[in-house]
Amino acid sequence: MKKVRLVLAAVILTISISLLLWGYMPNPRETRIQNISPEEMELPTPSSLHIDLEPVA
Amino acid sequence: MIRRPNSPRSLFLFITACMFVFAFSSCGKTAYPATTVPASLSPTPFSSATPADSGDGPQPAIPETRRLTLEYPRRIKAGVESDVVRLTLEVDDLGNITPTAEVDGNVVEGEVIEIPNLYQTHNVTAEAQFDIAGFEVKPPGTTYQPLKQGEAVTFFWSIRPQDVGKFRGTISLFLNFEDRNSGEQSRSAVSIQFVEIEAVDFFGFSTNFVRTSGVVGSVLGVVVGFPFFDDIVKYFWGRLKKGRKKNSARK
Repeated sequence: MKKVRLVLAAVILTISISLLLWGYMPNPRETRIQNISPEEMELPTPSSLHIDLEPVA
Repeated sequence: MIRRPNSPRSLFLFITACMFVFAFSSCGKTAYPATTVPASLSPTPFSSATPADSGDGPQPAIPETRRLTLEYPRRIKAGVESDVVRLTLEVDDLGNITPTAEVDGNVVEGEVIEIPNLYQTHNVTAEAQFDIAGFEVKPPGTTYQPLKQGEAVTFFWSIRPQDVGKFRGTISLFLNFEDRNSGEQSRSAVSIQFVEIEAVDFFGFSTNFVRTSGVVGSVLGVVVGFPFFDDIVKYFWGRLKKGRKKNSARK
């Protein structure tokens, strides 16, 4: 009887602690870093909006 | 064989010949020089306003390299939790300032080209937007922050999932330029990033239920196992004592 109670207590504690860990575990986060050169932050120019068409051979 | 001038065959040949002439003349018109683009083919500018371009000298430019950092949760617990998405546009730690003056390498005229500082000629505003379905996003819509030389701008969004599942969204960053003299406005896209956030629960149970069960279970486990704590402590104490005795005997 004593052994059964000990095992039961261990099982209950294990499950409860697992639930608590899951419940309060911080969310995994992702960080993305991207370098931005000055060319990517310049004023939009009319030349950048042109399509360079090439003559058909 | 007699050929009639208005026979159906002659008419067919005439129409075919006309079509060939028309087709060849059209092909010739598409062979434009590389630099000229007909107005109908040129894409519409991103902004409603016409971009500023003097054509007299170099365009004003931002004299610094920046770093864009996006931080968001890959997974979030559905139901009760909210989390924060952070987007920072900061100046590069290495202090990468791009040169504001360039010397023409070919020494044709040997002149120094000075690139005007964009911050001095324009008001620069960073514009950010976070769009994602299935999440409550605060603040919603577009947010603006002034961008100043050497200073970082940070955007925060608080998100809360409405349901369980995988949700995809976009985080966009634009720069708005307003000419200080003319008031002319233009807009440029800096970054558009896709994010995927998963809202989860515990096998169908809500996070609140799981947390409450954990607390109640821990208390119950302690109560059930309480009579044995005395035995457990005695067991460990006995082992510790034995170990000490063995060590002293060896010495």
